[in-house]
Amino acid sequence: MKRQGRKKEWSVVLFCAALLLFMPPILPIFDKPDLIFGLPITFVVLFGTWAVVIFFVAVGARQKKSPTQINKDANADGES
Amino acid sequence: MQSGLVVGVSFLYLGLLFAIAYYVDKRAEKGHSFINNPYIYTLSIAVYCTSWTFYGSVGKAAKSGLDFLPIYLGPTLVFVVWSVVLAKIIRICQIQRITSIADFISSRYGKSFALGALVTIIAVIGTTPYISLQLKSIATSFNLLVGFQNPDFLTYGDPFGIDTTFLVAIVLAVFAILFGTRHIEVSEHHEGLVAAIAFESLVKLVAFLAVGFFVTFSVFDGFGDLFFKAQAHGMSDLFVVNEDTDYGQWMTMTILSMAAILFLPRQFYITAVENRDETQLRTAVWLFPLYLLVINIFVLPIAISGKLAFAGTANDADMFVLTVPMYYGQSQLALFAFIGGLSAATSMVIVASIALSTMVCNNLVMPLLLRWKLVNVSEQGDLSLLLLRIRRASILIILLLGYGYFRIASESYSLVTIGLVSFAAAAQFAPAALGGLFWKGGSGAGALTGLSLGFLVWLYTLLLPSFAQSGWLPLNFISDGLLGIGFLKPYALFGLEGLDRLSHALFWSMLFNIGGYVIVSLWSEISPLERLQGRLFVDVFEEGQGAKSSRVWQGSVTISVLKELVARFVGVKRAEKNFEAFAQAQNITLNPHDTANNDMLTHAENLLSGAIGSAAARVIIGSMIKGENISLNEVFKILDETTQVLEYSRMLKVKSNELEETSLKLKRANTKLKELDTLKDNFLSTISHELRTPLTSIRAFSEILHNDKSVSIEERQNFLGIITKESERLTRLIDQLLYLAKMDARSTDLAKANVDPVAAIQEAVTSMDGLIQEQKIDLTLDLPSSTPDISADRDQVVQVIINVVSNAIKFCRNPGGEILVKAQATRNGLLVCISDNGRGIAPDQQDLIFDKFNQGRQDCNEIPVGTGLGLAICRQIISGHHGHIWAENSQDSGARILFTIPFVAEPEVPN
Repeated sequence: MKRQGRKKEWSVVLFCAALLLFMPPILPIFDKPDLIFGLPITFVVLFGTWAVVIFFVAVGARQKKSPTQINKDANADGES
Repeated sequence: MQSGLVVGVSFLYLGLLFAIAYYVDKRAEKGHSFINNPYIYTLSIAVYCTSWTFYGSVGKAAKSGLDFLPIYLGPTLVFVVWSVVLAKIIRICQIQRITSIADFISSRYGKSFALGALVTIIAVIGTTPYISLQLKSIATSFNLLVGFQNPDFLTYGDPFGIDTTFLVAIVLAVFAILFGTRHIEVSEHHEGLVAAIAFESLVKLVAFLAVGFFVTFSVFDGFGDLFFKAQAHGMSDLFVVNEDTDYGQWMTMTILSMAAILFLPRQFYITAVENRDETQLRTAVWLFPLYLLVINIFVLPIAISGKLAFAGTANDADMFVLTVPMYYGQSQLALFAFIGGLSAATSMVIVASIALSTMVCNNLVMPLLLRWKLVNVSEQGDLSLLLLRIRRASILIILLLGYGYFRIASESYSLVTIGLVSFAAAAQFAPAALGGLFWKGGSGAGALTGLSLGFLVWLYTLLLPSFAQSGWLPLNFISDGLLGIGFLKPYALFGLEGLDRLSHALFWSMLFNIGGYVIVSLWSEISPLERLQGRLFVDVFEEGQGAKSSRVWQGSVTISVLKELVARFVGVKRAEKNFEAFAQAQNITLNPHDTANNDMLTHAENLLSGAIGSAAARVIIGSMIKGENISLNEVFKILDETTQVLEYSRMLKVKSNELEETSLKLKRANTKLKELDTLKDNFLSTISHELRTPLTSIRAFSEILHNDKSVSIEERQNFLGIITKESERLTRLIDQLLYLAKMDARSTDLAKANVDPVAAIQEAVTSMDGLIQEQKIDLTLDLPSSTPDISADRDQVVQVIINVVSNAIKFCRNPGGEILVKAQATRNGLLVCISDNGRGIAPDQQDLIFDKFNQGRQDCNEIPVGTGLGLAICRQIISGHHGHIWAENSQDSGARILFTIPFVAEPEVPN
């Protein structure tokens, strides 16, 4: 089986984005001991970002179902 | 709480685990796979969450807030790029029948025994602190549960008369042996084990969430209330990662956990080796990070509630999960939490010890036994029992090592600190493994160097200092360095200070590891087998690579002998079944007395690889066929197939380019030929016209003279004059044709001498005076007073000028024709320019007029004025003199013909 589509490239982009958000110098921007909606800001941002990343991984990892589906997915890859 | 109750529940739980494993194994033998779904696979990967997660994270959060998170963010990041790394590793493991991380690295670098052994040693030593962490957490939690608020009971008491931790170690060893080494699996897939581990992951998740829910919604009034009270009690410093510092440890821990999720022996084993369907990964890649997220939501709330409950007292924060429910009188919840912690610890210990024992057996002990000829594969006897015994002994030894480390060092450290030491050891595998996945140039020698250096630095900067701090090595080893050399202080190696210990160790070990790997790889020769394996690993997703065998065997072993050999490692029944399946798949019947072919031998090696690892399998099959194993030529043959295909396609490309070029040339030549053909047709009609005209008039006048006697004498005279003139014209035409043909044949046949060009021009122009005056043309000469001589055939040069000037006479304005003949000396020799004031030459004709038979300015209804050979002759002569002739239009009007002839070269001075 030969892998195709642009999912690999998108996953690397997502990896870089997540790495950026979880690392300085972005991290210290919201790393403050204050509460927002009754929850610590850092807690909300870290878990929130984490959940969003997981959501995107799940979207990217959807199974291709049939050969006809592959084309659609490949197109969707380009657009997503 | 009664110790009997706790022990009873613990054993009940372990018994349940064993029942699950046993049931699943039995079902699997009947062909009903129970675990073949992505959710069980995901839960089994969650063996990543050990007592470190269950107890240690809370302890860490109670000390430094959200600092515990990178251990879970790192794996999430790795799973984001699963299609780049993880999918590749899993595919390779399936194709190559990899049994462990040691097997993976050894197989990648030419099935090297040394590498496999080194990885095994690093893995065993590196995992030891991690196992001791689990033992410590079980013992501590047990003692806490039994002795909580019981002043008679010491924290590390011994309710059974012996050390609790030692007892835990023995129980777990027995359990792991029962789980993992009941029989040798051909595929190294343990269905029962995986099912039990998945169940454990479920238990620890539910137990932790139960405590979390209790704390958040029963003790407090939801998250808002909890965080508000924490803020009121001045604990808002726990709300942040690491404000006001440089986040060095945060980054280090992220990197370490990224390496750990891939290369910790147990993670590699459960994720890659135990994977049986690649598509399950598609679910696991998001579900596993989600598992991590969910189990971590309540870490901070439990830590905060523990700190609030035990404010001011010296309670171990690592045990808040247990002590907080007990503080609020929830002993049943505490017991459940204890079981959760137990499940976290046992799952890690079981999987890790099984994975390690496989490595010790396949990559360390068996190759050594084979090498030292302590095991003779050609003798009779069942070897699978030997394999099992080696594995069982290794499990016991590994557990005892963990216990030993616990006795030596663990008591003084927190859970997370101990775990990170192990992570740093697993990170040492990353350069060789990742390099091997993506870089064909990585060599076994490089991997060996990098791993050794990285491991030594890890030993020196993390493990040995932990011994020193526990008093097993002198303390001044840390404060003064080895032998009192300040340069070698383990926490400030080579004078590097200012980093935390972990970052410091990671920096130096990775520097030496990666540096050694890359530099030695570039330096060293890559053996054919290494190159072959490198190609199979790096290009595993390329078309056609997957099915290709990595081995080429030649030999004369009968199928029955081969089957016996395999049976001795994996059992007679399994061998029989596998060979039958192979025969069916290949659609052949196996005759026991036939010689096993290459496919058969490769299949056997694959079977053995699954049981005893690739390095040992190679040795065994190799020894079976006695020195006739892999020949260099055969390996190169496989390598060459690909190279040749590439080479062929490259050559084809070149050839097709050449063909294209040739066809283009042909096309051009064809066009030229067509043009010439047209020219020739035109010329023939011209020449026949030219020949016919004088001939007709000669004939007409001759007939008149012959037939008509009454023609007067004056008229006769006149007619004869015409005949003579026309004959002359015919002669001239034929002369020119002959001349041109001669020039074509022998263009170098020139009588060259030093010629004064000015004199030659004047002579030529003088000879045409009659014609010029007849046409009433105004000819101007513009000649320099003197020029250097030219090396030329004088007559030919005169001929050129006559041709060009007569051409100009033909085409210049009539009446009022003007011709200018101009000569001047230039760098390229003598330049002669003859311009007229005619209509000029159309740009597309400027080159063509020098072609033979081409007459300039031909309109259909215009009578040709010349033979069409004059300028062609000129070009022939000029190029014979190494000069150049061309035509252009003057700016005002009219055409110019220009030509150059080089001057005589400066006479060379003889030496």
